[in-house]
Amino acid sequence: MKRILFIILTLLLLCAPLSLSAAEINDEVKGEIEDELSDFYSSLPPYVLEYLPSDAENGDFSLQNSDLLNEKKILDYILDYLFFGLDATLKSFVSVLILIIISSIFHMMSASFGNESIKFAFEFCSSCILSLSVYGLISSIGNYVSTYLGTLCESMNAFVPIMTTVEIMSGKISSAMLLNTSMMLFVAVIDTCLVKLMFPLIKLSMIFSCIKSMGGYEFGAISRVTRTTFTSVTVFIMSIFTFVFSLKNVLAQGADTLSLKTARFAISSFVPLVGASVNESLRTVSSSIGIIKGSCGVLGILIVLLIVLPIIIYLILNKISFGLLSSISKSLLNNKESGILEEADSLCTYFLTLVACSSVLFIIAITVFLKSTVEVGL
Amino acid sequence: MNELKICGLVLCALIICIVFKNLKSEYTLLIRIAITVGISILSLALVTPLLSFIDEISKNTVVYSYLPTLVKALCIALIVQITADICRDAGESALGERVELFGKAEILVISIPLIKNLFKLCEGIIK
Repeated sequence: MKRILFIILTLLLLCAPLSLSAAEINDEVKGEIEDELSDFYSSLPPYVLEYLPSDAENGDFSLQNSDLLNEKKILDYILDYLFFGLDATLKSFVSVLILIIISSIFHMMSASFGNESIKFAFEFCSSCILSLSVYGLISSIGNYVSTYLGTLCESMNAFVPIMTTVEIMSGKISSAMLLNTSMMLFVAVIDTCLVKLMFPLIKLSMIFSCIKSMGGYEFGAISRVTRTTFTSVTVFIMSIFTFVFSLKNVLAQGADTLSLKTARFAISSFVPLVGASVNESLRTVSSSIGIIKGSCGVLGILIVLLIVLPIIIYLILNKISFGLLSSISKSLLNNKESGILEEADSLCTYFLTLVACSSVLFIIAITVFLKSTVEVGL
Repeated sequence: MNELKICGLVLCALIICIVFKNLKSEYTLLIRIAITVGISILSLALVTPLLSFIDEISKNTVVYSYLPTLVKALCIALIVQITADICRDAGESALGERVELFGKAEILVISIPLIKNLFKLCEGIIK
């Protein structure tokens, strides 16, 4: 009896000094997330920033407080850029129209000369003036498109860590890694291959058209072939990327679902006392993260649209302008000179295709991220 | 010590308990407690390398700050479960239930910072 009492007292003495404390979680992680958000915020252009919520820099991207979901504001945004683009396009339209009129005067004057060399000199002058002006316009449009695509790539580059973090938070590690690598690849392909490789080719194609217009040499076919080949290759690469990314995402989703189910089973089976409660709370947390994911994805798509909308409006207006000028020049000038305006028109279409392909690629990637649900055995 | 030795030890303890049940029943519980605690300590010793591995791989990740809380909660859960099972074996199921209740309350207390962070996150979403 005494021995039993002695053992019990010893056990009590051993248990008594043990204390319990709850430590606060450190803010290092919070600091890292804030850095990522501020990087993303600083990569956005100013005309997009004014539509974000005022607390966006602190990570408050609640869309209800922003103008992004206000239809009137979006319409005002479109109209503002329409008028801005119209203003710039009208100026270039009028300047080229004046040049067409001057060229047609030159042609009329050259017809009155009997001497072939003087006629040729006049025609050459008018072709030169028109070709070089149109080349300058196309170059400036090309630089504009290049700048916008660069801005889009920079914003998406800064948005990728946020998407990856949200994906990891929902427990989907494979999908997060796939999203990270795929988006980085998309950005690299668009920034390196399309922007840096394509624009010199466009300028080369324009130069061939100018040579054809000024000298009459048939280089038009070469520029057409170059552009057609590049367009086909671009569309093919984009389709392959989208297809492979979607397929890999399905596989990654399956792997993540399996690993989550395994983790849930392990927690509920092997953790005593609170295993079932932890299992249920995991499901609640996953659903909550789904809401964050939704907001994040919608924000990403809206930002892509806001960045590319001005350039799309500008390109459409320029296409219409060059189309009109080419029709006018056909009646006033000869085919050589109107050919350069047709070439400019088709180059605008090419730029439009490129911008649309790039933005659609990013929108598809964000949509796949948005659509993926956390299947935790529901 | 491998699993055969552990199983052998548990079977020996079982036989001793059955023998002592008829001779001196008060020693049965003590033997049961001693074997249970001994095997639990051995299991924890086996798990220690796993914990240091998890600590190593999660050093630069988000999980690292939550790891001490998770390990504490797991240890509390295991200790309380063992104690509650011993109480039930001794026929004191009410004591076992109270110990389990205490364990759950303890785990809630140490997860207060985690719950605070979760509420902050929910607040941000609702705003």
